[in-house]
Amino acid sequence: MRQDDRSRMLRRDFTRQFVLGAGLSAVPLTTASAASSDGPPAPKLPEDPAPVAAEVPPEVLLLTYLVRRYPSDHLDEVAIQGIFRDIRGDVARGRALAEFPLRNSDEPAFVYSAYRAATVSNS
Amino acid sequence: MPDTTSRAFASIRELAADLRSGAVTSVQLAKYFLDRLQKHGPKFNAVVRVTHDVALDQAGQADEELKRGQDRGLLHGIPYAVKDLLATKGIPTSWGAAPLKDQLIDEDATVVGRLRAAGAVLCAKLSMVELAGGFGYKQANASFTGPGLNAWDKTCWSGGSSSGPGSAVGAGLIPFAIGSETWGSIMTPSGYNGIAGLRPTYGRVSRHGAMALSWTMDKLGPMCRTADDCGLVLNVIAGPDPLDPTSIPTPWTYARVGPAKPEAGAHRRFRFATLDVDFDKLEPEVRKNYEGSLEVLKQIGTIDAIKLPDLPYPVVASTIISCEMGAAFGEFMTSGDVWELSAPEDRWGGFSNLLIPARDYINALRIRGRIQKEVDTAIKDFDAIVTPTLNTEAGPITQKFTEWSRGFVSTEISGAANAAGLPGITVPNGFGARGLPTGLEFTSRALSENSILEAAVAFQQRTDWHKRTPVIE
Repeated sequence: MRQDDRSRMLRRDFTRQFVLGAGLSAVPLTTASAASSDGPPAPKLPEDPAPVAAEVPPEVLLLTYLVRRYPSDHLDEVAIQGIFRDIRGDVARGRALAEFPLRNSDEPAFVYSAYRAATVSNS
Repeated sequence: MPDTTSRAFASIRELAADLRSGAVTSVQLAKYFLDRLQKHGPKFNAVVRVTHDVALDQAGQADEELKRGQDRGLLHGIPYAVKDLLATKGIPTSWGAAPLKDQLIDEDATVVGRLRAAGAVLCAKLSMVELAGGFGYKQANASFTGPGLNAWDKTCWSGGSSSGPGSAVGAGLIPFAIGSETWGSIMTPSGYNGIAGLRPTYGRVSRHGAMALSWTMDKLGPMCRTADDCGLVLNVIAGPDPLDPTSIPTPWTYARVGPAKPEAGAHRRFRFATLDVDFDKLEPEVRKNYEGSLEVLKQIGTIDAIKLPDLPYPVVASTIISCEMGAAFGEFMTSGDVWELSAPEDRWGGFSNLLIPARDYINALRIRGRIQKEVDTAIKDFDAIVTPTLNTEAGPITQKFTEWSRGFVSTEISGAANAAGLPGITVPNGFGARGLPTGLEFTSRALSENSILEAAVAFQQRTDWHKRTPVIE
């Protein structure tokens, strides 16, 4: 086995162990790549999803989804830990946004307007 | 060949006067600055590409036109450079990223076209933090051209993401440059290098042909020797553009464009406001320089202390950037190109952005609407909000930002202004303990560039910090 291959195995092992160690062994998410041309098979749902949802932090679920959706040999310990920290920050940020009191009339500051191409009239 | 040595740090008006008096030609100026860019640019990791042939062609044309009496205005014949995220026909545009270093976007950005039409002479494409810093870099070495080095001390950072424009203008390698800011990328390198940097109102300058990091946050703006220079450059690059649907539909004119005007603020009193500055975050010299600046401003106006509305500015700004960047660069990340970036943390720093719920993005945009209205109400009675640009002078390139930057800013104005698309300008206001520049920032309501320019020009007419220059070996 070449050094490169050993490194890749270590990275894969680390990713798997990180996910398993974070309590995901009970989460039967599909392992198929979503990039598959056949489309992803339906995930197997746990018999009783409630306990899983209660036990597994959303950050870990998101990380699991990410590393399975976009697998890469580059995802080493530093990258995984860094992405996990970022996800935790994003989740916290989402909570802060959700806590802000918005009214139904508070519209998004979208940049959008109806569009119609200019036409040349022959008449 | 006339002596052009003293022109390295000259203002645009001074260079324009020399061109019209015959003291120098545009070709001579171009050769002079091309030589400085080639000789000193690499010392600061400031240059991606010197556009030698383009510059001499454009300068030759400028000389012919001026000789014929065809005067395109104050930028006619003046050398300039752009951050390498602006597309230029026939010249690669790297976005500061190793995997894109030979990328060719074969058209001119609107800004480049407008500067060419004004007779300005493109001399270089300048370095930048890879992909405008959107991947979360945490230290200076985050570009394929190496860490941006400060014009005043090459062991220290130039600031980012417009690192090349900051150090090149600061070191007198080019009279002015075009930078970009999504959140801090003009203010930071301008502040650290002791130059004037203007962030226009969102939409004031067309983004067509510029790399998109965040479509609703990106702004292009001038980085120059003086505030007045910023006004002159903005006067050329501002205005509506059918190629950028977010461009503001009304034209804009710099109030001081044209022949020399009376002293800024001579006929009026400014109304300035200060915010709650977290003085614990400021280096002592930064605080001292800020307080000294306020004393200068008291000569020309009043200063009231105000508070910004209690709104989640950083949360909103960062959510919008993360989500838009995740869409703009999703393919770049998932294709694997991202793993060729220079900073290790940039290689994985964008991935979590692929997961943020749409609801968070939309709610951030909803809160942004509130921010726009409430901040405008809070500052509408003032010509400018005045704050320290940064908490410290530039720190060493060998350390992470967290080790020296003290969080970069001491008030909420940076997040608020960028979330709401408000204009701002920074000018130098002194030096820190290690002899590097510090800055003073003016921020105002949307569309009020002339207010902050007038205030910054008035400040520079009463101080000489912008006339201090670094020793370039």
